[in-house]
Amino acid sequence: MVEAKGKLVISNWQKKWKNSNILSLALLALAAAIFLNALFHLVFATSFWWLLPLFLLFGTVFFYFDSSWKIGIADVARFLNTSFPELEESTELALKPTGSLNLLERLQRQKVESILPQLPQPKEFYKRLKVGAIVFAGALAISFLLTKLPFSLQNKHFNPVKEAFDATGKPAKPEAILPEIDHFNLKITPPAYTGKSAREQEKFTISAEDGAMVNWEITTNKAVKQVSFVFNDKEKLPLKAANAEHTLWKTAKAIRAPGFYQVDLDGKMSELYQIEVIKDSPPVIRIQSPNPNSVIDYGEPQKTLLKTALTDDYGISDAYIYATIASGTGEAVKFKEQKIAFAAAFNGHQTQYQLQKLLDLKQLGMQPGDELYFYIKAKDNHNQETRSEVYIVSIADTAKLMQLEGMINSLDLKPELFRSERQIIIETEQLLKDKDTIKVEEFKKRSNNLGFDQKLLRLRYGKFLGEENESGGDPEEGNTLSDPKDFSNATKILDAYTDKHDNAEDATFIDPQTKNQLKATLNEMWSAELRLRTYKPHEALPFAYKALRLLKDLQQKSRAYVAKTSAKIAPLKPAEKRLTGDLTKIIDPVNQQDFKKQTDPYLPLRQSAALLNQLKNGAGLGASSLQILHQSNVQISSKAVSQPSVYLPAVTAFRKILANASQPKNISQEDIWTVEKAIQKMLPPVAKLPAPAQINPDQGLSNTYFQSLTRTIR
Amino acid sequence: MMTWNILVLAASFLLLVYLFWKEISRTNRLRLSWRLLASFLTVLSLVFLAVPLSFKGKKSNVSSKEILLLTDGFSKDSLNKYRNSSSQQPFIYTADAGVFQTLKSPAVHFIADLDLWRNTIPANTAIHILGDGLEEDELQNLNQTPIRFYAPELPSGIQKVNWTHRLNAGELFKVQGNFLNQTDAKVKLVLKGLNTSLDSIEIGAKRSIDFNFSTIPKQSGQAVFRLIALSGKDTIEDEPIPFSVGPSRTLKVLMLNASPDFESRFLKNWLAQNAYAVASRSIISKNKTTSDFANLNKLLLDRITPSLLENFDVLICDATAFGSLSKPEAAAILAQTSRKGLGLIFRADSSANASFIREKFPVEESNNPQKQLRLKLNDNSGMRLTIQTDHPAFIRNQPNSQALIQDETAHIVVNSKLYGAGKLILSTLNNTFTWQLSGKPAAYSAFWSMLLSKAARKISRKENVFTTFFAGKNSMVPVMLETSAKTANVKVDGTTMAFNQNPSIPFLQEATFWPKKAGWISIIENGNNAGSIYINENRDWNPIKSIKKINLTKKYTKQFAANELKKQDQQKNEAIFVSPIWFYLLFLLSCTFLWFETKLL
Repeated sequence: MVEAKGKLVISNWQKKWKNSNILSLALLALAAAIFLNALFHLVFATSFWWLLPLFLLFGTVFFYFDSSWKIGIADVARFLNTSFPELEESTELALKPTGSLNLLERLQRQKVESILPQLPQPKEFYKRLKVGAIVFAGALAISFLLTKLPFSLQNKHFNPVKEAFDATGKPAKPEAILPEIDHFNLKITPPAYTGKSAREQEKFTISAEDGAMVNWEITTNKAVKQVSFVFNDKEKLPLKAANAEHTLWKTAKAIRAPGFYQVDLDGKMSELYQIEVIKDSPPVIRIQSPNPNSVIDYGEPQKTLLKTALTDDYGISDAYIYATIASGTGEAVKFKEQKIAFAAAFNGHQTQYQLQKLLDLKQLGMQPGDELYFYIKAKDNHNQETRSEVYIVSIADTAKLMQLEGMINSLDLKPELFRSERQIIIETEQLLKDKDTIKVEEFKKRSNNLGFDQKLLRLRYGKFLGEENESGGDPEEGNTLSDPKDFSNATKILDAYTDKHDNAEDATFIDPQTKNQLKATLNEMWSAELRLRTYKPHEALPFAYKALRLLKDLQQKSRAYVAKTSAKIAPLKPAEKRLTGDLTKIIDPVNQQDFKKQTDPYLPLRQSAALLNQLKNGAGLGASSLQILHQSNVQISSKAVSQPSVYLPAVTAFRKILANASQPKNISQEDIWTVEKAIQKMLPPVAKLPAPAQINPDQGLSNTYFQSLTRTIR
Repeated sequence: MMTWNILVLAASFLLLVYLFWKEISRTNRLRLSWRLLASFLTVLSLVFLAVPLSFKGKKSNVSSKEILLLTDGFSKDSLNKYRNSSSQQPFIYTADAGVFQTLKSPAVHFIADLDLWRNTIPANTAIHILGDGLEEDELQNLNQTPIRFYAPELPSGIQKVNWTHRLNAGELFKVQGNFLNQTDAKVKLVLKGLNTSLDSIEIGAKRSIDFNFSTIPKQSGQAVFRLIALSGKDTIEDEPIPFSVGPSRTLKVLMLNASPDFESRFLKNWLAQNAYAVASRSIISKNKTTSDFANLNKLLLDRITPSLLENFDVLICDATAFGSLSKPEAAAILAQTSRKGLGLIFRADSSANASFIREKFPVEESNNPQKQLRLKLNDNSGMRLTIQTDHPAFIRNQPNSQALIQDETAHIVVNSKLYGAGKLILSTLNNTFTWQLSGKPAAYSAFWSMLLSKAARKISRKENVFTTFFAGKNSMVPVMLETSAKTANVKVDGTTMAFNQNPSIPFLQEATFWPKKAGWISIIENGNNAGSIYINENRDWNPIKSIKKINLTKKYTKQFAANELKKQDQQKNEAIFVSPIWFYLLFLLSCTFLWFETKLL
């Protein structure tokens, strides 16, 4: 067993050495992988999971090319030979099987075996491991440092997702600022009433609330003489130098109108920046009840519920109801105005209110027949007022309905035989008053009679609708039939004895709207009659009043009221002048008018499209064409003042084009495209007007042909 | 011939004997047999140099090799297939510089001049053509040589297209054509004007559709719209559509009314406000008329005379007014229409007198009284209008008449007829002014624009300039000028050019020129601007150019087709000459040997 010990030692050492080499290679691979991963993460923002595949890759490469890990037992023996001279180059003997050795070898082997266990472990075994460990530690440290760097590399080139979109949701183009400006800062302070806090931005493009204060602070990298802003090509606002070196410039301005501006630095102009104004919209009033025109009939409670919703973008400071009560009729109309407040308190910060108010008309002092006109006025915290529509509430005036005013002048006086609606109402009220003093049967009989009268009235009006006409009791018709001449007169007999139902001729006598109203009136009359016949006169009254109101409406509809004039004219001589048919004194009228053709204000724009096409092809333009382009430029600029977000790029592009108009080669195609797109958007569609067809010139050839054709046909 | 042969033979025989004797009698007898052989060969070669050697042999009439002509648009696959299918390698030529550059193969020869080349190839050789084919002038150069054309499939793109080249302001601009999509992806065809997409259509894979785009251009003057075919993000085709929008022109209108009514009043006011010249006469009472003139000097309207009618382009009158005209007046109007092209617009009403109108346009009231008529204009726009009527009346359809406006059940509301050189139009609508009142001025102007434009007297342009569909840069472009002037001094793009007057059409003049740059080129005739023509870039309209070449070559093939190559060629017994170069070489070799041999002694 002593012999095997040497081999054991050697094999142990071989294992140790092999493992340390493998470990060192692995550490090197890991170090490389970590370092590379950190670098990639910094530049390309790759994730850390790439470590594993990178490690495998490097490991494979290292293990393939570096064969230091393929240490066999023979290599260890050789190494021991070289490093320990006392072994006398015979370490291999320890590895050979005992049986194959001769005497000399056996002796030597014994010697080797006795030395081997006492040998110290060579330091070379762990040299590579040390190197590997150091490299690994170093790589780890460097990678750690790399990941802790400020993220300057990443953002500049490979992380465009952040801040890619501006306020309008379109991808933001980076602003072009003058190179002399080192850095700048804008502070926008919205007006106090909006309740928004001040904000800062590092962009020249402004999107501010109406009346907001904007403070500019510009730092230039060298001293400049003057810095100013040019607003809408007209207004110039110089900035004030804030420090002695003339590198810090400040100014402030309140923004009230949209447009565009540019920075003027010692004569050098920057590109155009847009100013957008977010206007404060006035409050919106929505009245949910009552309807715009409502009538409170007899019997309904004299109250209206007013429900309304108020909305504003920043806050409502107050709201009132302005009510006017009109009483009286004709020239004696009296108006009384009142201002009614809502129950809720307005604090000027809330933007939405849902309000209700119960208007008690009796409390306001309204009588039947009066009308209430009201509207709501709301004010927001920017002192902008809106008024709602005027709503009308009127109380039905039953007394007026009962008056005979206006009815006396009409030609169709109702004979007493037929009770009028008014009469029915008077008698119903009398009945109700007498209810307590008369017997029940009397009450019922009178109620029934009233119902019968109402029926007669209904049938009478129904005649216009072509309904049945009961002409109760007309004795004259029967007498004519006894005349012997009429014995065989079929029509007369039929006339006397048939029950004529709906008369179709009368059905189309009046126009549809009137017919509908008449139908409604008849319905009311029927309801009144029903209740009268069922001995409930107090219920019948509202229907009767409504019927009367509708009837009055109908009658007054067809009337035209003409103002009375008190003109004194010369006495007419009708016999002399009228109906002679003498037209000799009348001269034929002749009119002549000249209308100037309105020049199309957009004509320069329409023509400049063709000129831009010429520029696209590289051709130069004449003086008149340039004039047209300048006019179009003015038009687009003025449009850009009101809609800068849409037209500002076109203004910038157009200026560039005009600057290079003498050298068309320098004009870029994108500029021309931008301007063309803006022209298409700006131009209104062309009106379609009649125009004659045009034929190509032919020196009268086709005409000659036609003439000779028609000549031969004739 | 024979004497020369005998002389040569004799002389050579003597020479041979001399040389032999010299060789034999030399002292050094080394390489004697070689020397003798060399001298013999020398003399032999001299003989055959002087007298070319020939022998009878069979020669095939048609060369066994084929000639392949490559043209633009050939595909490499078809070329390889062709090469592999034929037993021998064909001669490959190309006349197209672009193809030659791209191939850069030594097997391909470039032809500079087709005509000359045609003479060099053996007669009755069929030329096989791969690719899109040849242009018209090249086909003429081939001069009836038979060809075999392997036509490729039609290229993907716009196959046919046409558009309105000249418009007036406010008219509809139409582009119509056919697009073939040979790819596997969807293609979107867009009409773009002023860098804005105006109209578009999507075409599925492997489909051919007809497209029809229309828009009303907002610009005036010359314009170039673009037809762009997009497949995803790539632009397959981007073609220019040039056209010109002319200024709007006004008309002179005469209105005769039997009674003043809203329709005529509104029409008169509308025309006057748009700066049209209007004269209107209306009867207001017995023998009393009122005359209105707008944008026109006062004229006497009481008698309608031919000289009065010369001043106007359109006459609008009611049926009653026309019926109550006296016979000579009515005859004057009809004569002016039929001979001079005056337009007549009648407005139907219940008149008993207008038999002329009744016979031309029989009107009948409709059976079911509709409250609303839905009308459709039969013009390019196809606009739809609705109008409230109480008693609609329709015109019976007759032959030789063209319905201008119909309702949705194809009843005719406005009908038109040709009358000599002019047009008669009858309209049964009498309340078109309600469109103006109800806030639809667009409907009103569309209606009356259509009627007046159709009826008005046609005006003749002073000149008209046009060219072929594809006028390319740096190629020959013909310019055609139609003019009413007898002599024309014409400048094309600033340079005066002499135009050729067509011998049978006196108003047509032609010239050709080679434009150096693309774009609009203005033609100025006698100092006035006659118009402009558009010169395309050479990359424009490639599919259409390819199709034209394919069709031309196919047509040529139909006329001059190459017969199928017969396998047994006509063979003739012919004398075949052996080239004398061989004998020269032989002579040289033998002389060298003889000379060198002496150096070896």
